[in-house]
Amino acid sequence: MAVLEVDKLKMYYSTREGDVRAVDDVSFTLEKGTTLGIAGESGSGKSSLAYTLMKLLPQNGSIRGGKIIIAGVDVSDMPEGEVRSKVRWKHISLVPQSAMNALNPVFKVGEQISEAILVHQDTDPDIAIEKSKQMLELVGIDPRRYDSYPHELSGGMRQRAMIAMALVLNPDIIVADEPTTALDVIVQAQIIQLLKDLKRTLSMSLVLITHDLSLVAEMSDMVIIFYAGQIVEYGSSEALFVTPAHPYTFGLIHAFPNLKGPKTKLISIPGSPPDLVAPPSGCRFNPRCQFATQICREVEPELRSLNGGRLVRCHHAEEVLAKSVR
Amino acid sequence: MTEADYSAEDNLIEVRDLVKYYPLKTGFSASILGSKDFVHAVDGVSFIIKKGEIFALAGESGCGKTTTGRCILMLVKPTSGDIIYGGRNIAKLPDSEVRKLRTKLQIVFQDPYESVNPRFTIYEIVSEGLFINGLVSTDEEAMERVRTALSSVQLTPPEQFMFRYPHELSGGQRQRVSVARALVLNPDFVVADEPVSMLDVSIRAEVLNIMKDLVDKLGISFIFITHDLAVSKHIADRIAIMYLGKFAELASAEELVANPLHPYTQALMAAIPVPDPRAEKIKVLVKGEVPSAARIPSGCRFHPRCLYATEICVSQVPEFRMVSQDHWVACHYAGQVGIATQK
Repeated sequence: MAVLEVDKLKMYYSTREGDVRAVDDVSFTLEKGTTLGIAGESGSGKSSLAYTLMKLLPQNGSIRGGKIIIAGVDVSDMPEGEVRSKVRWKHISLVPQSAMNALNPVFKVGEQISEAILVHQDTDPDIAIEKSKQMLELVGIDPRRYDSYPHELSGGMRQRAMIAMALVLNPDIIVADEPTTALDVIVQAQIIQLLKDLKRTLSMSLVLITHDLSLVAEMSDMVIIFYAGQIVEYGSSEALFVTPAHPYTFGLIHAFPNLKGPKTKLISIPGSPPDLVAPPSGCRFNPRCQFATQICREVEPELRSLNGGRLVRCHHAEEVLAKSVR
Repeated sequence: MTEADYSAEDNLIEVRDLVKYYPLKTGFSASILGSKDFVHAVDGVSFIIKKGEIFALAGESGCGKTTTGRCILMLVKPTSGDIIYGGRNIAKLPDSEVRKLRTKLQIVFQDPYESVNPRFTIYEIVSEGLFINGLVSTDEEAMERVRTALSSVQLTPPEQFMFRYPHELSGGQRQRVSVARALVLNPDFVVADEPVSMLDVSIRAEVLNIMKDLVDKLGISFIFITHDLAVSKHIADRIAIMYLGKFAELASAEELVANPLHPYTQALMAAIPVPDPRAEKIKVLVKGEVPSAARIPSGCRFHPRCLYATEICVSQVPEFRMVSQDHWVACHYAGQVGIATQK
């Protein structure tokens, strides 16, 4: 069962230079109880996608088309008041990027969690406090820490508190935007384990947005590789990481070292991500692509399906696939 | 000890019992009476950097890896300890003498967006050190050396980059400018402090590959400071794992990754996600988080988080000892506990 359906979603930022096409014709579905990893580099539009799903956009950002269907209802043009009272936090909630700094330093951690309940739901304050304490316990924080201020907690505990806050109204979907980026590896592993455990016990669905391919590989069932505001490849985690079909995925996998396994020469992807005001003509990846030919510079490739339920946006996918299978 | 003892043939720098404490100022009385509390950022570290070697210092934030790197360059004055370079103990030299060695001991910073002056051209950034140190007298000479340095970090043709400003360059290109700025002075030794952690994965490889080429071609030694074991394993000859200001383990990169003996190293390795969905996953083998460096635990400083700690770990500081050829560990139970015995 799909808990989230995104259909041909477009979100542009208006700037003096023109529209920045941060999310450009993106479609996917999230099945209940699964994790969808969305991986991309900085500036690829992956965080914009997260905030679009939450309908938390800055003033110059607007949805220019497409649908976001959450719990059977299209929220893409729902007014803000209704989103706040009916959708956000109850059906979909966010663990924001650098969650360590997302807590308000002058309020107690527990109060901030209770506030999330009281803003989104008509509840008695005492019940809200009780519920917040339960949530803290669930994410592995001593409920007596309800009265602590954020600076009294370590980075990992603050991150746990943010997760507690996201879970407090039992949402179906959690959008985690770089949930572990600022944390040390061991704490990162603890948080990952917590998310995995919660996902299983609460049967929630997770959208994991990150630049860290290893993290995506470890946590996701399905994976989207995001480049220049678009999906360039979609498939099961195993298919994508073992036999990538898009040159960008292929490049990423060879661009960073693996702790296990033999030492291989790293191959960098030349150039840098494109300007989203005026993306390159044809395929947006063509200036950096080792497989690019004339057609790539002229014709924009469609997202087309390969066998095994995979999708890829590349004219030469079969060629890439043949190379990665070898 | 005499000067003669200070130089083995292929040793570039020898660090002996390096210590750096930062005073913790707790209030008005402490400022008058002098503070009694210290953050033990680096707490007795000894090692040798060989000529043409990449030596990785790896650990979590707050473990003292950056302070160690900066102490060796005398950018931070060590509290005690010796740093032997070129037959002299530079930790005991006056600042004016240290400044003369500055061209030989260089650094590359973490953040390529903040470590280059945005109002200077690339030529000005890279040549500044040449003029300050009096290595060149004319613009023509400087130009020639900048050109060589830019070519060696593959910013080619150099003419295309020399008169541009940092904002016109990508993150990876800027970081290469930082490397060129260090190289132009012909250093023996460069400390690279997390040089790729701010870069996107697709461009990390270019900086890593360039650094490796430089070591091969120019024989420069690097200290590579990183929190990323996968990157260390890829680039370094030897890896030292630091925990709360001390070395937990030191071995060649292959040996350390294949055969980690310290429970902390094992936990670090288990915690790293592997970019292969088929890989077997090991659960995290450690409790809690890093304690404050102002309150170092007794005995083995890792014992409160260690799954295998016993009485002796609480009371006695484990010796940093060699357990097999060039493999050093500070653990009472090295080789007897953890992953090694589970196989």
